[in-house]
This record gives sequence, C-alpha cells and structure tokens, in this order.
Amino acid sequence: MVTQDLDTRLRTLQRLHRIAGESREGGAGVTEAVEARAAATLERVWDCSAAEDSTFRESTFVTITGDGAVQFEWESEAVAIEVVVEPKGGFTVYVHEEGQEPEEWNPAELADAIEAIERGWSGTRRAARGA
Amino acid sequence: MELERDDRFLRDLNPDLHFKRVDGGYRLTSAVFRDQRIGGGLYACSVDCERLAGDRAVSGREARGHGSWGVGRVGLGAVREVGEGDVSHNPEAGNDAHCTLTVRGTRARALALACEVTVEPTDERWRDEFGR
Repeated sequence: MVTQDLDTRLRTLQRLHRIAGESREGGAGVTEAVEARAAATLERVWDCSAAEDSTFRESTFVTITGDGAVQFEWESEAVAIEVVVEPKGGFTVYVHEEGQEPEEWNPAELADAIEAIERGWSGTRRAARGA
Repeated sequence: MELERDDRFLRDLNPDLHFKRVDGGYRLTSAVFRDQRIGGGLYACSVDCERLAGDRAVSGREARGHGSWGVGRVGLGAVREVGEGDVSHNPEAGNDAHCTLTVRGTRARALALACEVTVEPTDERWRDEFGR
C-alpha cells in the first residue's frame, strides 16, 4: 500500500508541471522531455516499496535547479532521499542517512534509480533494527 | 578581494523552488545551492557578500526583479566545512558584492539546513503554502 494520499500526489504533480512550465517560459531550464521523464519517475517512486514507509508520508517535494534538472526530496526522521532527473539523461540518487556521509548513485535508467532508492532505504531500515 | 572566514553571503530564495513544508513550518531545500553544475560533483550559485552589499542588499534584490523573494544567509565557514565548497569574489556590472559559491552536490542539503532565512518571501502563493 502506498501511503501518500491522492491529494498529495496530485498537488506534487501539479507543482512539477507548473514550475516546469514557468521555467520554460523564463527561457532557461527544464525541457518538455525532462518534465515528462520527471512525472514518470515520480509515479514509479510512489509505487516503490520505500513509499510504503509511513514516515515518508506527504514528504515528497519537487524542485527545479538552474540547469534544468528536476529534483525530488523525500525524507523521514532517519533518512533523506533525493532523486535528480538529469536534463541530458540519467539520474542522480542521493541517500543521506542520519549521522552518515551521504551516498550518491548515478544510474542511467529509471529502473536502476528505483533500485538505488530501495537499496538506500532498506539499508536504513536494517540499521534502525541494528541488523 | 580576500574573503574572510567571518564573511556571510546572501542568497536569493525563490518562493516556488527553495522551500519545503515540514511539521511546524518550512525548511530550505538543497536546490538553494544546486543551481549550476560545474563538474567534479560540484555545483555553483550566485550570492552577494553581506559585508560588501551592506544596506544595499535588499534594494539590489528588488532591482533584479526579485522583490517578492526571500533571502538566506550562510557563512564562509559553513560553506567550507559543511558544504565542502568555497566562495570566490566575482563582481558583476552594478553589483560589486557578487560572489560565486560552490558546494559539493552530496553536501548541498546539509548546507541548506545551515542556511538562515533572514527575509521570508512576500509572494502570496508562498504565504498561502508556508506562512505561519
């Protein structure tokens, strides 16, 4: 079961499309292709098992960097995960576990980006259990 | 110009992009400092040196059309130690206080958490979403 409710998802997606559109009108930033890939990534992230953690509830946030990358942030008390949809293809996944050095992955494909999220998240859960 | 360890730097805060809602209010996101990729895992963004900008800091922001945006402040020590980056003085036409701040991508979130919001945005949409 995915814990983020539909209103939250809808609000996040609307925000993505609004700021992506404004970014294009401003002459710099995200392209339509990156916007579409970002929306698809969000949908996949919401369906991955990490999203079942209730501590992540309503914490998804979308932002756009000056060079046209779309970035999601997602955090709980123990870990923060950021997914950057790179404008020229590929993804960057940052996992910031409390008290640890942040880890960075650079997968080329969405499936690998999701796997990196799952790996970072499940590692944090194991650490929380002391395993 | 030599920057000093006590120097602090002002960063324009976009009401649509740089704030995230959290319990009890908001916090800044890593996008504050992840503006332009410069290679080697580093990002760059524009800031103004508070010592050089002085009272002109806010009027300068308004002159750039950012009158409804917020302002964040971060020290050189935090940039170097938390952000694993640095700041260089890089004056622009009409803005002697302009500097370029670099940060390591993996440290941008920690640096954003170390950045103090000195002026909140006045944007109406921001107030609706984040105003307390």
